[in-house]
Amino acid sequence: MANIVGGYIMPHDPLLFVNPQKKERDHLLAVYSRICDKVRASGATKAIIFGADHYILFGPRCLPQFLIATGELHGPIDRLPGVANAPIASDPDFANYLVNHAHGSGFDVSVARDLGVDHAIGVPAQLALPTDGSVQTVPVYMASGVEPYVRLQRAYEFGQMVRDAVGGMPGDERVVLIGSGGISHWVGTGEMGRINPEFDKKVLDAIVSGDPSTLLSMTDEEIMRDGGNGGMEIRHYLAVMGALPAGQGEVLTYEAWSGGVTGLGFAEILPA
Amino acid sequence: MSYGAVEQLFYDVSTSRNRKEAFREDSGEVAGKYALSETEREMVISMQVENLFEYGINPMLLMGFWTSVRGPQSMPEYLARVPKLASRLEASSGGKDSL
Repeated sequence: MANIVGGYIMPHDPLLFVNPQKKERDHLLAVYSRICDKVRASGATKAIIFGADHYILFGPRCLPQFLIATGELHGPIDRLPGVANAPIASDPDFANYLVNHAHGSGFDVSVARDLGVDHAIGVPAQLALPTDGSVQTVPVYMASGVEPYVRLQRAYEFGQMVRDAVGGMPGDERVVLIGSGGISHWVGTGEMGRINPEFDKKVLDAIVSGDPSTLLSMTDEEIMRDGGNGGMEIRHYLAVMGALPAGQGEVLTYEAWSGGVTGLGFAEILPA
Repeated sequence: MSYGAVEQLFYDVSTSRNRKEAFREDSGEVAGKYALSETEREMVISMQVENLFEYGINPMLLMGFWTSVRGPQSMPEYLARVPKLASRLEASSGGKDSL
């Protein structure tokens, strides 16, 4: 039987790569490598990455709530130093299986049959997963960057749906999940550059506890106020938590890095 | 109200090199290709980020539009001019369209 072998949350702050202020960052980039080593050691064969479009891929004429990419992948298409826009190993059969399961479970997801992903998917795919083709990726885009936002509860339920899907798969695939996104950050607003460690701690404490109730009880207004518009990306963490109920969380690294605009949190969630 | 048309223009300028160069050359002509009100047209061609933000344009898109047209070196000016999200939250008091 296929199973979920672990989950991770990690940021994708472009400034970590552009690094215009030339701040020390090697210790942060090393965490992606550390996670990649963990993924390799877990024997993972598939990865599902939850991320947000940043008004780069999907325009005002079509804004999906949930989108699964089912075909060939490459990215990130937005140029980031040190993160190549390169092919990403995919598995159309697995992706289509997830789509079919979603459609049978009350999630009418959209699909992309060919996709150049942005940094939300591209950073973890290129840095936190083996790039030798041993782990095939399925990107799941959630409406976390552009209104109307996916409801927090639905993001969590999406993770539960993924858990059911993987549990019903034939074979012995080993699946790793990644919730991609910064914690507190304000993007394109007058607060940009502010980081709120208190909000970040609240989110990370919830992940460590394995109890999503703190996050699910937040309103979007609270998240905007305390975590910024970028903080809406906690939806991706909730998806991972939904797929790993009562999982054992551990913070790998947290830093309110002065060279960027995001609370950078890296965490691991292991199955209960 | 043609809020969506403003965002479409910004999206096109941010993601299409041809549309970006066309906007830089003649912002009025590009704006004329979209169904904008006169107020919207003025905000767009004058790049009034203060008013566009208050109008409810997605901040990521607004920033992307600005840096596409003015270049990344212009970010300090953008950040000096763009309002805080807190001001929008206070103004909306839960109005979802302006979050």
